[in-house]
Amino acid sequence: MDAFSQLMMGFAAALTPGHIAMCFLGVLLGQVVGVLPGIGPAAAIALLLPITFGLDPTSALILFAGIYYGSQYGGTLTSVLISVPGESSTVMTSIDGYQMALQGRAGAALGIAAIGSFIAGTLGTIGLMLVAPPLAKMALAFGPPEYFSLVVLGLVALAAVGSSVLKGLVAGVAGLALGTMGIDPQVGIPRYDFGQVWLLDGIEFIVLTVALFGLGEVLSGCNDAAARPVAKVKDVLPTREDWQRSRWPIARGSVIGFVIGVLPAAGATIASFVAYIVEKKLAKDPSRFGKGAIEGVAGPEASNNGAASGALVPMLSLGVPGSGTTAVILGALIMFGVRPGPEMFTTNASLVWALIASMLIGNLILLVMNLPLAGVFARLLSVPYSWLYPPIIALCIAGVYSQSNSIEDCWLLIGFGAVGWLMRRYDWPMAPMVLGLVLSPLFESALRQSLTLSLGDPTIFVARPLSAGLLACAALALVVPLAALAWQRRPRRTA
Amino acid sequence: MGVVWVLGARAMPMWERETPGPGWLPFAFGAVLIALSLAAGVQALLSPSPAPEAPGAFRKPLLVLGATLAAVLGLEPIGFVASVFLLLLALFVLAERKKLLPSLLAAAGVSAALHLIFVTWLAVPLPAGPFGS
Repeated sequence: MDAFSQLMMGFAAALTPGHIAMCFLGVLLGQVVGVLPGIGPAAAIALLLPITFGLDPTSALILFAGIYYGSQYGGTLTSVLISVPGESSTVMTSIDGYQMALQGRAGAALGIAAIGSFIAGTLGTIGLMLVAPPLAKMALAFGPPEYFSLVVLGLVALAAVGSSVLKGLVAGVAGLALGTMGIDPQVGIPRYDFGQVWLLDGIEFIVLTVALFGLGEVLSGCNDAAARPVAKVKDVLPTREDWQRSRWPIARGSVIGFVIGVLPAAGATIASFVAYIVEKKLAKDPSRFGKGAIEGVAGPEASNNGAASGALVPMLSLGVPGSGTTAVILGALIMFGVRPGPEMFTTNASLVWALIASMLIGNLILLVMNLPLAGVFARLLSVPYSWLYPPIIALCIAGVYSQSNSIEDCWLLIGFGAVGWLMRRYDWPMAPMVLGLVLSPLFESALRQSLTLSLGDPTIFVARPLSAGLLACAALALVVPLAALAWQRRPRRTA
Repeated sequence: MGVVWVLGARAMPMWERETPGPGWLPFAFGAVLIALSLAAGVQALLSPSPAPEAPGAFRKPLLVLGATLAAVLGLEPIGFVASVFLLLLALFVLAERKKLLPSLLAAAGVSAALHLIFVTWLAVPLPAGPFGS
């Protein structure tokens, strides 16, 4: 079995002391970041980028992936303990999880979430291993028109995840437009430099990410900087009854999560919604839901972790991220000189397999760390935000400045920080904007090359079957979430 | 939801400036952006208006933004460490009304730690200012 031998090579690479340390550091940081308000995994990865320039891409990718799935679990802690979901994907967890915490069963809720996440994460990683390579092989046949359609699909898909598809599209196109700043790649004409020499290089992806997800987040969060009461955590190991109730929800949640995570339009949030609804439908006594049913924690938690692994499938094999954080990881990979996409499984095989192996290890670390230490992480929650956000701002300034030692980037930080704050405040998604900026050069060169190939005939994008299929998927990505939303609303009305 | 319009309008003139060849795609982006922004604006106008904002909801974020701006302005004249120290102190004491001593300690600790990480460990030449080594 080819995948198996490659996985063993991956383990050999991931089990070096340095990479284990990175993996551990990643999940630890991810968990802390997931627990602390005001700084999400996307901003954390962006802020760490300047620090990781000295690392090899494999270490950096292991670190970032650790932050990514570690933060999923950190978000669970906040939803259960204080009913403040750190990430939208843990909203469903907070419904029954917080009720359990009020009944003094916070420990059981966190324990089952940790176990469910571990199982789903492991199954999801195995799924990733099986699905991504064939997908990548298929994608090797891609030419410029296919890449163009792929970028369209990626942007539309990410835009469709948010609260409003329209707002997501606006943000995505704004990102694409920002990406055209600087020297034109084919003719060499400066564009949108406004007479400023420092704008000739365009806007750095780190600057935009740190500004939007770091400073913007702080500005929108600093108004409610008060400390919150935190529930006590004890008896983390689930009882036999808990386990019997949660077994099947975890299994179903894992599968639902992975499948939905792979679809570029969906992601962890929708996966957890679907898992919750499925469990409620299948339950013998649906009235327990919303009053502390452990199934309502187990299913969605397994599901959002399964989706986190699933979302890596399109990112690694096609270069199309399924969420904001994977969009930032994608940008980071590009900065490290690794081009995510179909070639990754051939040109960077060792990196990809080391990552997959490290994800299996990281899930184990998370489980081992959380069963005994959930209470310690819970205590982090009592650190008031007012002590946290000023240092976060200082870190943003240092991180952005160090990126290219330029004071001008700090001006951009302030400007886009303000934009990020307003976007956040009025519920505009920021991830499509970052993705637009990252993918803009690929988009433009693919479009120009395609039109050169076809002598200016735009039907090239629909005449080639693969490209047409991708565009059809993009259209589906617009329609499916709307349909899902309608489906979601239906049972609530009858309930 | 007036910001929808402000954001849209601010984006518009920027992208309409067209240069032939390389300008075609930015122009297309601009046009699409305008169309989408208009649509979003219409959508915002048609949807029921949100509850009125509490007065002063903008004050603190603006204060924090202003302080950050001041710190960036200060980067080159007085150096990174001093500038960030003052920023942290101002935010802790003025914006958050914390006690002076813990604020001083925290501000000093964080700016020293950042200096250690970025300048000593990563060898990034953050602006040293007149007090720099």
